[in-house]
Amino acid sequence: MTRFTKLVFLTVLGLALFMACDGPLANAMLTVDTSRCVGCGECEDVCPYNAIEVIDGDAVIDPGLCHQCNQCVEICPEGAIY
Amino acid sequence: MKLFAVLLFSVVSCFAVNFEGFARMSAVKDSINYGEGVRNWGQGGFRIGGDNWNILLDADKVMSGEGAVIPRYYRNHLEAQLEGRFTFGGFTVNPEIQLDKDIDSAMVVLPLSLGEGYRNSALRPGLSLSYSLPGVFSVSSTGRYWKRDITALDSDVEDTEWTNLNYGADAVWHTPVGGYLAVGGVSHQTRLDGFDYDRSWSRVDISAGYEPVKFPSMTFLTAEAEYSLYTGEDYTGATLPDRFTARIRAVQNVARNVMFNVTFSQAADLYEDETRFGPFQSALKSQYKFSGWGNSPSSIMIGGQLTESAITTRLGELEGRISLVSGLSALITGKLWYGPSSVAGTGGYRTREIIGGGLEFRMNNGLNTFVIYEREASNLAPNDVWGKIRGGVGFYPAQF
Repeated sequence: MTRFTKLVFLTVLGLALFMACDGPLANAMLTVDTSRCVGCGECEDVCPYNAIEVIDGDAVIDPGLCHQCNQCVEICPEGAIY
Repeated sequence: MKLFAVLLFSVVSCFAVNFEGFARMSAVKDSINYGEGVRNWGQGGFRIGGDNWNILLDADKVMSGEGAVIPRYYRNHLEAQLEGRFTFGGFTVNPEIQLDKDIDSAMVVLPLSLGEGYRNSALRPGLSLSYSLPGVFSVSSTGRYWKRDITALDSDVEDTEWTNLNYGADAVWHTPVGGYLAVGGVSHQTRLDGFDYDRSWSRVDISAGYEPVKFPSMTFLTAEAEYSLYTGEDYTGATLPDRFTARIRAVQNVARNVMFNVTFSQAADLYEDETRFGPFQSALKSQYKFSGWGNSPSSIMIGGQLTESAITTRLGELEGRISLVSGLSALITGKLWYGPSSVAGTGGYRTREIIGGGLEFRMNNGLNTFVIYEREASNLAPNDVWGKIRGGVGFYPAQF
């Protein structure tokens, strides 16, 4: 398989996935972009549910405790949580 | 303390070691909490190390006020972390311990609507072990145990322990044809003594990636795909869905000193009866490097990001460091952020506009100082202008 064929295959696969899905649920798990997170801990301090810890310089969200209140999204100075 | 000082002095006296010291602080008024909201943060510590070991002591003090507009469970706490890293050949042993002491009585919501409580203190020991054969194979395992002392309200149980045990392992193989395969897993167990709460969840990640592929005209492309298999439940008792995430990152060098970096990431959540989109991110960063007037490298970065999940955020940003004279640089920062808001009357969304500037001075002996002031405003009414000042001093590295 040539490199061009691989790219076309991946693009078609991505488009098929795109067309097969509906939007996220209101309680979809949040995610942390570790390349943007600076480990400042503001999300950890603001979370009322004790669901966030900064580990090795990155925020880690516990999906079993997170209530999707989005206060961490609102407070994050780097836009790293969404 | 005396014993620690003697040990430290002994180590310094006997071996050639590197020493890095740092102290940073910030004083912030947060746009969410106008009127009363303020968050002051101070950090200090040092790292001391040799050829195959180093020890880090890091102490943070955070003072946060409760907001006048919306109830937030901000904390005033002191956090200290002691971490060691020792290497023997390809093996690394990384013990750590973190102590967290709340100064005031900070509120926390207990799981499963069991009421509220006060955080008092927390202790978190951990240990990581890893082995790496650079460029070929690496494997690591980590275990941590949190023990939090909580005073529960609205309950017969006054003093309780909120404990969390987690452990995980991962392995990465860098294939000879330029990609990588990775398998990892993590398991969490959370318990609340005195309450009938004992829950656990786990995740297994299988990921593969094609590491930077160089195309003609100075383009580098990285593609990654990851499947995360979850077991366990969220706070409502619903089963956590599996998640498939695909990422593509492209770096385009237009000239020797101009670079564009584009990232796309899309997740899909696989529930038992349907598949839905998860978080989406697209981001663009452009960077221009130049020499400036002094002897330090200068650069300006302009970027933007769009994220969509159950909520949408948009971010535009500007960062710059411009060398002025020998050792002295000007710092520029700016952000325009649009995202969800829990403040009443904002329609669920708000904007934050941040612009600031400062100075940084680096001396040849490793001393680095900086101070930066940022001005922040938002679309909240009544509107106001908030300030943030950050400063710091560091000493990197000195050898004895």
